[in-house]
Amino acid sequence: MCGLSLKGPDAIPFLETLVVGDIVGLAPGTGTLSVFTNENGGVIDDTVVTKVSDEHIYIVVNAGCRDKDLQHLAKHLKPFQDAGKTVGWHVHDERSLLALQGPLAPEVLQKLTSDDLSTLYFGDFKILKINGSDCFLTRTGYTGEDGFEISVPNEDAAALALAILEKSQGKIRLTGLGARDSLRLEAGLCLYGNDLEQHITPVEAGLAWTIGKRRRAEGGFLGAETILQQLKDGPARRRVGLVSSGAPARSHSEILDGDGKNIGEVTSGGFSPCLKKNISMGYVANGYHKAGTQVKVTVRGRQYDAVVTKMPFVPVHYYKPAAAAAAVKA
Amino acid sequence: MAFRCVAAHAVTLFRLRGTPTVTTATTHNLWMPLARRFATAVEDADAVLDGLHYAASHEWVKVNGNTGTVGISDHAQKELGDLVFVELPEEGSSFKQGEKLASVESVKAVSDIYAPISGIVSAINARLSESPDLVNKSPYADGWLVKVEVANKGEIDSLMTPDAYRQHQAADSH
Repeated sequence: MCGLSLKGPDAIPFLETLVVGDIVGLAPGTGTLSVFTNENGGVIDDTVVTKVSDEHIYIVVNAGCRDKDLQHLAKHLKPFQDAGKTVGWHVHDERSLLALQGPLAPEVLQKLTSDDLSTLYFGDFKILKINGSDCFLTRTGYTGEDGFEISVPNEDAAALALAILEKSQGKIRLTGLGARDSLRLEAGLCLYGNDLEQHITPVEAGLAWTIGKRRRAEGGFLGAETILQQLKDGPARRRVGLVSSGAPARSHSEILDGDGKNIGEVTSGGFSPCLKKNISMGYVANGYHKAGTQVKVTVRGRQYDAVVTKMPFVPVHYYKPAAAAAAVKA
Repeated sequence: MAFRCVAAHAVTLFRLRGTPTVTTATTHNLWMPLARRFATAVEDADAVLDGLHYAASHEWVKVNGNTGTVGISDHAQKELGDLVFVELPEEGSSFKQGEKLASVESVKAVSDIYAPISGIVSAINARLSESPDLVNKSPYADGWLVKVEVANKGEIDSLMTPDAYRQHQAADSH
C-alpha cells in the first residue's frame, strides 16, 4: 500500500479526470474503491479514494504500482496546473500503513482509542489518536472481512502493531502476503497485476459499479469512450470465479469449453482455506460467464473440470449499518 | 521428491529444510497431527515409522508379501505444507524404481513423488481427491498414496532403514 493526499480547491476535478468514480458525490469522511484508467480504458491501478474534505482527497494505491501511478499523476497534473488550477499532492512517506482485519479488529482497536468506532462504518474515514499517535483510520480492507487500514507515523508504527497484538492477548497475529492473497481471492477481489492489468477495463473486470452514474453520462476520464461503449454493448470478455474439481488453476492456465476450445484464461487462483476447495479467477468470452457454466482448466498439461461460480466465494462481512443493527439485536 | 514452486507471484526453488535431529521410536498406530507452529516455537520432531523402508527422496514403502504400500514421510509432508491436490497414476500403470510416480501440490510448491521400488500400481488412495490433507494428517496411514505389485523384491535392499532415514532427514538442509 502507498498513501498519498491530493489537496487544493481543484483536487476533485483533477482526480475525476483520472478515475472513474463520482468523487464529487462522495460524502465527506467516506471513501470507495476506484480505478485509474489509461486512454484505452484499461486499468492502471485500483485504489481506495477517500474524501477527507472538498479540498483533501486521501488515496491509497498498490505499493507495487507506486512509481507508475506517481508518474501518471505527475504527467496529468502538469497541464492541469499550467491551466491555472490549484492542486498539489503529497506522498505520505512519513507514514506506515497497517491493515487490521477480521472480526476481532473493532473490539481490539477500540482499546487503543477513545473515539467511538461503532459508528465508523465500512468506507468511513477519520483522523484520530490511536495508541497516542495521530492516525488516519479507514474502515476498509481488502480481505472481505470487517477491519481497518491505519495510517500511522513511521516512528510509531512498530509500537502500534505491538500494542494491537498485545491488546488481543495473542488472538491477533501478524500475517503475510499468502494470507492476504487467499482472503482477497475468497472475497472475489481483484489482485492488480493478475486480475487487473493495463489491458483490462473495469467493465470486463466486473467493476462497472465503480463508475458513477453521473460519470457514465458525462465521461471525462481517460478511456471513457471505450468504457462507455462497453457499458452500452457489454464487454467481449468477463471476469468470473471458478471452482476446480482437481488441481488449483493458477495464473495463465487456459480455460476451455466442453469441446476443448479456448474460451479464456485464469488470472489468479489457489487453495481456499475456508472452503477447502481450489478456486480461481479468470476471464472468459462473453456467454460463458453465467454461474453454473461447466468449463475445463488446463493445469500442467492435464484438463480438469471446473464450474463458473458466483463471487464472493466466501460471504463478506463488511460493517454496514444494517449489519451493526443486526449485531445489536443478537 | 523434487520441488517445483507454483507461487502465484514469484518463482523460487524450494528444497527440503533441516529439522531437529532427535526422533523417538514410534508405534505402528502413530498419528501425527498437522502442526502449525510459529517461528519462535520448537518444531515437533519428524516421525519416522519403524517397519518401513525409505527412499532418499523421502518416500516410504511398506511391503506385505508381494504388495508395497507407498507414501511420503512426516518430514516430507511438513516441508511441503498443507496439500491442496494430489495427482495419482492410473491403476495398472507400471513404474521403475526412481521414476516419477505421482505429484503433490501444496500451498507453496508442486513436488514430484518417485517410485521407491519398481512395480505395477494395483490401487490408488481415492480419498485423497476429496481430502488431500490426509497426507499431512496421517502420512504413514490414511495418507498412503498407491499400492504396487512389487516387481523385484531385491530393490528393497537399496532403500534406507528407519534409522538410516532418521539420519538422512536430519542432514537434509537448505
